Amino acid sequence: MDFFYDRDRPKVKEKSYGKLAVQQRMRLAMAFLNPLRPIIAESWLGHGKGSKSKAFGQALKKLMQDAIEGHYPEQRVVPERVMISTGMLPSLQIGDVVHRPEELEIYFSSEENPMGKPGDEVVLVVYSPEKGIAGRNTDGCTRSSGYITVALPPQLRDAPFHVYLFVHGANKKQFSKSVYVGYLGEP
Amino acid sequence: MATINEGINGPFSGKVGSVIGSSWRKIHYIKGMHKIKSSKRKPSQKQAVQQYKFKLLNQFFSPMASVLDVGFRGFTDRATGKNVAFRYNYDHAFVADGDQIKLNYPVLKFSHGSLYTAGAEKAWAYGEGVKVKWDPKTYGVGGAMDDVGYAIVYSVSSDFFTCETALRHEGEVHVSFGEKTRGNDVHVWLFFADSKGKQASRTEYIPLTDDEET
Repeated sequence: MDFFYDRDRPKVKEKSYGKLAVQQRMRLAMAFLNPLRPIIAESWLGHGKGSKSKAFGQALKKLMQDAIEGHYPEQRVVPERVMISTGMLPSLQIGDVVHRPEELEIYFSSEENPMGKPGDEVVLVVYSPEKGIAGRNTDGCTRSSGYITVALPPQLRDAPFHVYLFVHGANKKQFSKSVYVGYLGEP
Repeated sequence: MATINEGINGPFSGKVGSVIGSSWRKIHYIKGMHKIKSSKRKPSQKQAVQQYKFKLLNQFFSPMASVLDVGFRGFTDRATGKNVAFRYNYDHAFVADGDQIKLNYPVLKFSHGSLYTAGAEKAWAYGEGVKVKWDPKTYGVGGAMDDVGYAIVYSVSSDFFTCETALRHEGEVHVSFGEKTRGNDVHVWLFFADSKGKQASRTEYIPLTDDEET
């Protein structure tokens, strides 16, 4: 055993398959979720006991458990299974999706449910992990509105992007699970 | 040179015989006296190339040290912004042009972070300087109206660096060359930093166009 070694020359030890696989999963999950941090800090806050970083950690854990497929070194994130929000509120049913050059419009409906209030706010998120850019609706939209519009950031006007939709209560304490709308703008 | 982390009797500063103790950015050092070498050996070809690359990149970043401190503000606890920029760019900063090694300007980065870039960036020659334009909206995520945009312009022929700032919501900034000539080989970069002094965006390289429309 070497008691003394040069710190500038680290010991080269081959990492185990499991270690490499977990490290890659972590890297993939982090790269996917990091640009959405401001949204996740709100939508997962209930699971972070009030701490934004704990909330992000919970979202990361969920993504690594549910939304990564394949075997090392060909693991990949499955955006359909990523939950950018979670909670007990009832989700929405997606209707028509209208993709215009500079905006996206989605029509939705909501089943009657004692937990779903007409005043619940709807959030539409467009996101390109490749560009690291996301956008969300800046105008308020409620469950009873029936449709929601989001202006596309310039980086997403000529690039494909993922679309997620979720609902939160007026006080932002309760959230629904996010619904994956699809991958739009593919050439 | 060795670093000492709260050494046996803790860090010290000053000279003890031929040993000097000092600290910089919370890193404690013990170092020997400076040795004056009487004859300098000529570097090998590989060493000469490395030395030239170091010199080239260091000289390029030197005038921008204060901007680099902003752009790499998340990484400057134990290094200067210029040091971090050098490390971040070194691997991809050079391009071989025949026998010559040159800087690959479009890939150089002056910042790194998770703040969003603006999108729809444009730059064109305007008067004696350069006008830089971007999308002033924030789209609800990753940026704020009061983020500060840093437009960096470099003229290769004049070897002149200049940087102007504007708020994100202003959407444009005019970078003047003053008494210097702009030249035809101008490079433009843009990044944003938040008003709280915590976050910065990635750097976008903006190719110079003839006018606003192109």
